[in-house]
Amino acid sequence: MMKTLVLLGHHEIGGQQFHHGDELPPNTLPAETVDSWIDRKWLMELDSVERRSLFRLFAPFSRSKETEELTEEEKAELCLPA
Amino acid sequence: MHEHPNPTITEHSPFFAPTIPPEQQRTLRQGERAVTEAASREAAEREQSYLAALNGPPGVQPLKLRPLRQPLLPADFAEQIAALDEKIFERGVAMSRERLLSLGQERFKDLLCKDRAARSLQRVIFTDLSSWFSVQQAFLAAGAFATAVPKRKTSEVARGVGEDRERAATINGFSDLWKASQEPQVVRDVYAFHEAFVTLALGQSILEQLSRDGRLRSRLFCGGRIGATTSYFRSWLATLEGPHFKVTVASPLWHILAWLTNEHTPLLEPAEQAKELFGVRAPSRAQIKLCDALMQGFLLGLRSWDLWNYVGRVTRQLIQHRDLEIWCNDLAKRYPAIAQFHDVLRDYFWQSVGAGSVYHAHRVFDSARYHSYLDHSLGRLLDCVSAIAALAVEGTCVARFSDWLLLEGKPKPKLADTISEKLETAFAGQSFQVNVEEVR
Repeated sequence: MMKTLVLLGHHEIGGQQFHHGDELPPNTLPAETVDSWIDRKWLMELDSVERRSLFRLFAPFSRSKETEELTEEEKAELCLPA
Repeated sequence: MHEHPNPTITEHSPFFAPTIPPEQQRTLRQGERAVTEAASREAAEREQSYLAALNGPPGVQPLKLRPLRQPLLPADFAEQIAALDEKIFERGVAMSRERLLSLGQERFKDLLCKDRAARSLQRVIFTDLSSWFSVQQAFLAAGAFATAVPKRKTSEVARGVGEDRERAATINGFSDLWKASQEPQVVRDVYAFHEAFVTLALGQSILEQLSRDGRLRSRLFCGGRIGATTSYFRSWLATLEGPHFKVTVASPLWHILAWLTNEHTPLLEPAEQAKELFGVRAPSRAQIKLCDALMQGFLLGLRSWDLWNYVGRVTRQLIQHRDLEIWCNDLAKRYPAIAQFHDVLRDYFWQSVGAGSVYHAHRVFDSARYHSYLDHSLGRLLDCVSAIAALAVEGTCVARFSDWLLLEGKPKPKLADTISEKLETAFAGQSFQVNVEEVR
């Protein structure tokens, strides 16, 4: 299952400001740093069922390498019919 | 000698009833039962006749619905439209992949900003703003999911009234969230995020389905479709490749109803109506939108809480039900032919229920069937309007929606007049206003 990383508190990573509750784009930080930040309660890890990653859902627009699909209901309702 | 008094002889009634033989007892009981049953039957028949007289004749035959007036169309109209839709599909819409990506990236940043804005207030703590279930749970946890619609009373349930109000009070998705009146700013923020999310989802599917030749082929562009996706498509028109223009038929629903009902009162523009309704000289955009939605709801035959629900969904405003009733009555007075058409049509959708039971036999209005019939019939006529307009400009049409067309190239002079003429031939007596506008 994919994980969504959510920042707790305000942070600056690579010159970019993140606010409390913002999603951390996938692959922004190395795995060790992510673990360390989770331990320090600077970062929270949620299952994608709980909170989907907007970066993965809209990968072509967010330039994320990881992707996540919309649900079948969403595809039928929001996307173009084939 | 003592004289003995005469003995007094008293004859007592017997303590026990005289013994009746069992056979005679059975005969007597049967006789009594027969008398009771006959009396009961007579009373029941008397009551049944009384109730039947109160309720009218049992099993009233439903009125037979006559077909609505149809426009004057060529015999092979259906074939022409099918062929045109096929051509539209094959032609596709020319879109620029680069512009799609660039606009999509810009909108993705905007989506993140809206996500942050919706979370920043922290009156309602959200987990996943893109999922209705998650948003619903967040509102419930914050105790902000209640609506201002009065609950249905037990007496109303017993009388079988107030079903439309109960229906209007439900919150079943993002489209109903405006009814949660306790946290208006949070609701506005959630809507802002949701709009951005839906727009981006459509943009991504456009990008995925865009062919190598730079043309987008989809059934969305055929068949005069109506719905949210068609309106969200407008927000991606900036990514079209080459010159395009839009053809819009102004207020097609109004023209159809006026033609069906011979309504002679001219249509009051929403801005003018808003001035009258709110008593202002410069109505706000929200007021104009409200008047437009009110008019559409009136044309669709919606009344009371169904109208409240419809107008609220379109405008996302909580309007006083009483005000809406007054405005709707004003519209009925202004456009009497349309109001009468709906009143007469409603008579065809009363149906008898509980036939055979004298206690439950009555008639109810089948609201669902009435609206389904009206939506279907008006939808077909709207499709005719769109199809006639598309046939008039056949060569360049790349998308045909219910109330507008997208065409490739530059508009020819007098195109609007040509389309108007064709529409006026089909819908005799109606003068349609057609607007041609270049896409930038």
